[in-house]
Amino acid sequence: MGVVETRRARGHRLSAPGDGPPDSEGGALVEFEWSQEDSSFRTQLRAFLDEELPGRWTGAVATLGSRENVAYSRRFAGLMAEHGWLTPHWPTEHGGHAASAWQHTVLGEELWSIGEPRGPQYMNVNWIGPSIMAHGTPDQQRLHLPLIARGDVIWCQGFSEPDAGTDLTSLRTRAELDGDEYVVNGSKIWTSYADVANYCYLLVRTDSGGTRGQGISVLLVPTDTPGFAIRPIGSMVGEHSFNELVFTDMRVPVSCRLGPQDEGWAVVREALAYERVGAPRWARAARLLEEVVEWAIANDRFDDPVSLEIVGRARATCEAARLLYYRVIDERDRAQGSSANPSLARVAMVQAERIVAEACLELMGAGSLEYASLADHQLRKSLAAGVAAGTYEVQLNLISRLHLRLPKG
Amino acid sequence: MDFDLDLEQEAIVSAVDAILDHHAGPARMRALGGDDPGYDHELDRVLQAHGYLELADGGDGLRGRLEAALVVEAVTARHGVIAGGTRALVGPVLGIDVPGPIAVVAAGHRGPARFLADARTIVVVDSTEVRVLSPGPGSTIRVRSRMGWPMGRLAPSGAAAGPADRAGPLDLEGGQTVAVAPSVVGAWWRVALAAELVGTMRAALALTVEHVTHRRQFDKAIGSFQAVQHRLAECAVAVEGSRWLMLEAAWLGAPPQAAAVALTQALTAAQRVFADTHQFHGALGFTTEYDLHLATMRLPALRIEAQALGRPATAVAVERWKTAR
Ligand SMILES: Cc1cc2nc3c(=O)[nH]c(=O)nc-3n(C[C@H](O)[C@H](O)[C@H](O)COP(=O)(O)OP(=O)(O)OC[C@H]3O[C@@H](n4cnc5c(N)ncnc54)[C@H](O)[C@@H]3O)c2cc1C
Repeated sequence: MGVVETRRARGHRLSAPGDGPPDSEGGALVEFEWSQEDSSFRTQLRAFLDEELPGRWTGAVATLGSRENVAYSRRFAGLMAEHGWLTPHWPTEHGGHAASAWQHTVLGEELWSIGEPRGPQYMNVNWIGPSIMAHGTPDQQRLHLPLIARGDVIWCQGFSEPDAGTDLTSLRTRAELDGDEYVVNGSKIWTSYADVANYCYLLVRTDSGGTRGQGISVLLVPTDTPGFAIRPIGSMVGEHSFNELVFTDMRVPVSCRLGPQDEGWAVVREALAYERVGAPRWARAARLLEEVVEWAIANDRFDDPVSLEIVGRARATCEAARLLYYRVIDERDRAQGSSANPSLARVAMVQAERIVAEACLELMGAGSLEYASLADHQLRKSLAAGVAAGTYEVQLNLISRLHLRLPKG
Repeated sequence: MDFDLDLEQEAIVSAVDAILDHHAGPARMRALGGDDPGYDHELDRVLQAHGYLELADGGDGLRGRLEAALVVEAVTARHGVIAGGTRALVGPVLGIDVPGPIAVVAAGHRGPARFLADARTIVVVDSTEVRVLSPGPGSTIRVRSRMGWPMGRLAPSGAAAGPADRAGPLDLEGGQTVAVAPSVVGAWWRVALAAELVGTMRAALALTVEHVTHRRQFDKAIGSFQAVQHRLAECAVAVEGSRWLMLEAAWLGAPPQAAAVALTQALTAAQRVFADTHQFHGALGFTTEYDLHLATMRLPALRIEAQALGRPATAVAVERWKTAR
């Protein structure tokens, strides 16, 4: 009870943030400011982006998933690599410089908010590369890590199947051992970027006796392997196209297996745990909100009270998602254990995407109807937010269990 | 960025909690009158005596404001019946020492307002200035309410003709002008309200989580039904988001936009929490014997007060996109 008195007595005065370590006795205090280092990193990055992408990556067309984006991403990721900005958070022995989780976050925010010019390669640097670092053989590391670090390769993620979505461990694509090769049969679906990818991070079942998580293995498969068929599936989300993959007696050398046979589920979970909070969707939603308000101001549609109200609420929702997202990064920065915080952040991000879509429609009115208008674009993107990479409902399940500690259903 | 309380902050929160164990909580609120409680002068005195309502005054800058916000949150999470938000967060920016309890109203306020009958200081936020009034005896009166806070109003002008020891009617146009911009006081008022909303929501949500964990139907805890779980999980997201926005706004020194953002989000959350916490209590939540209403009914009262300076969401839009232009 004496804290206040003690502090008064010793005339304790807190240093302003950035003045050095705030409180040597008590550890760091709650603080909501970027360090000098992270801020100057952001400034440099923005200057580079302004120069490299003047005005191009705003709005709807060039964003993640479009053909233009994928094509450009090869050049862009290479440029980022030259600056040391493609894999800054990687350990030094693999060509990174062990940057903090906060720098990684700045990178994600800045790039995601302008449509993710790294294209599908954000997956490489965020979790595919780290997964290969953790479980790859020396040969696998020598082959894949330099490609990823140079920004020279596109991967796709072969997880979902027609009958295995949320319930992913029920996947059935089979890989039978035959000498030093696996023979793979089955299919994958909703595989983004497969049509442009060089490799597929593929989940297969190697032991049908195994239940749920047991008996799953990870294969790192070149997409030009004979027996690997790719059929594009049209999608209503932007220009994003899904693919169906069909494997017919596809022969994959055992040397392409990542991690131990039958224990791939642990490998994947670990890989995804690293990215469990996912992309900083709030940053893109917030940026789109700025754009639609600019549109509305330019078109004299920013004065009625209803518009102001929804735009204000949308902004507040994005801000809440931002802080819940930062909290996860903070937790990861200290390597704290698993918690519901990533799920809280993800739910908040989905809500942000949705309310920004509402705001776009409200502000743009009939302007929304035009092909690839901001509203048209955001409406579609917001739909994907609650489904891709772990659904909204799954996050709510996790919050119930880990945060509220409600009884099991 | 750092989201962990340090030892000193934790010590403050747990010391305040220890005080609240003795001096607050639903039983104390009931002793004060339940959903129409009298002002808790004792709790106010104890917190003041230890300095917990003046953390923001202490020359500790951002840190002090954040701690003050944590205290306000903690007090409301335990049903404290004091004007903690205005004392701890608005008082320090007035630039002069004023006696508490402090009530804050917008210029031209009519009708009931929180703490008006108990206030020794009334702060009036006008469009171009902030005024401070000291209501004399009889110039304000209690108003019956069942929104969980002591409500008062200005005495009608006719009541002026009373005994000699009674003051005349209070004129909100009068009082002493203080040297602080209305935007500054307004922003701290919004942060204070956000802190009170967050504390109140936490109380309601905690009680509900406990209830659905123990209440069984169909041989199962109702909290095991996914329909219940998902809505409570959404409440949790809403409360956590509001909480961090509120703390950030306090830490940043209540910039008008951040303050409006925090309050907007807290109000949106409050609507959800109000409806769902009651829903999952079934009939039990209606009873005066049960504590839920002591928290939930406070939420609409805070919402009304939150609109005194205009709708917070509109303020967000204006601050972000109109003020700068
Ligand atoms: C834009 C986009 C890109 C994608 N890219 C890829 C990719 O590159 N590679 C890949 O492998 N997959 C990809 N996917 C697929 C994605 O991973 C799946 O859509 C996702 O896992 C959900 O599976 P599902 O579509 O089969 O839906 P289902 O699992 O059938 O779910 C349908 C609905 O039921 C709900 N539901 C399911 N189980 C529960 C439960 N236990 N409790 C409550 N509700 C439940 C879900 O939340 C959802 O609302 C992509 C999806 C999208 C939208």
